[in-house]
Amino acid sequence: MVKEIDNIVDSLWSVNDVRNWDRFRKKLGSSSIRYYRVVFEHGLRKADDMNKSYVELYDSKKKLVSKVPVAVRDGKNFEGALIYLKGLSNMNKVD
Amino acid sequence: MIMQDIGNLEEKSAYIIRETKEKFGNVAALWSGGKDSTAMIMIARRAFLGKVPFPVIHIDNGIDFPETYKFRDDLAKKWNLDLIVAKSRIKPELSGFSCCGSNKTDALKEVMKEHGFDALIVSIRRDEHGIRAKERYFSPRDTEFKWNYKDQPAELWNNYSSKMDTKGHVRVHPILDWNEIDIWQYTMKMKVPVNPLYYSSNGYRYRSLGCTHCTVPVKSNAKSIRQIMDELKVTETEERAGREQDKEKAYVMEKLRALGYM
Repeated sequence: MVKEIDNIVDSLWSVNDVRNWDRFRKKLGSSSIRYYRVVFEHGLRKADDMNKSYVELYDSKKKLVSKVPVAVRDGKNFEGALIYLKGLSNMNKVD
Repeated sequence: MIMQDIGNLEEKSAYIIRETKEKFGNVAALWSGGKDSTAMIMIARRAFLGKVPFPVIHIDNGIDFPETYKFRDDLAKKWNLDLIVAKSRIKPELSGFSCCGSNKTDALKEVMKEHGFDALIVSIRRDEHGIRAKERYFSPRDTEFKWNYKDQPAELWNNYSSKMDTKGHVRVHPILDWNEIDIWQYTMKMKVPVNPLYYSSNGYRYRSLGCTHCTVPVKSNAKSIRQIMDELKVTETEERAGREQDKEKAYVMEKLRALGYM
């Protein structure tokens, strides 16, 4: 199962389209991932900043498991993809 | 922070909401999934015997908290809300100021135009921010959504003017006179569902919720509404201290609102 979601995460970093995000979403519930932390490392001031941003995913012991992009791309357009992480809990509160 | 009589507050807010539904043809309400707009929807439910009689709009830029999406979808189902999700595309060449100003306001403009809403209920409170203190219960916006806060109808002695000469729409603010602790008091009394981000974990909680980019948590150990209220009675921190746009220059919020921001 871990391997399977790892493959999907790899796909997301290659092509973060709706199809790959849907695949990720389907596997998220049965994975060990429980927490997320959104990282806008360069703020959000220009298009490229969105592509440099990512979400860290943690397991129930708050151990970093993986990282996924913040955005979902639809052709040239893109928007935030955090709805695909519905069900996870926030780790931004932790120092 | 002074607590008011929430019975009186609810009665007045319910009156404003009923008046809006009666006087305007096509009404909608903004709903962020935060405590204020959720409390407002509860008031509307009680004002109309359990069914909110207008659509609720969530402006979604895709970077809201996952907890907020879950809260929104669960509650929309539970309360049988007519939920409209207005997608706002990120225009990341813009700064934080424009991120809210253009992205969210443009999405709102599109959805208002598409559905032809002539009144929009917005859950702002006067005590949140200096510029919001200048608002009225019924406040006109022009076709470009611009707000001229120097030219608004007077609302003296609780007399409101719900009919006004505008080709745009009217913003309605039914909880304008509530303060933060009133909202929590009402939420506790009426058992209004709460977005879990408001509760503390690891010594932090979100006191005012925006998107993940603009909102940071504040130090807090409050894990229940009662503890939140106890904290508010002694805090010297502003409610929106964790909201990025408010940390910028003092005129930013004034500019945002003049251009149509919530």
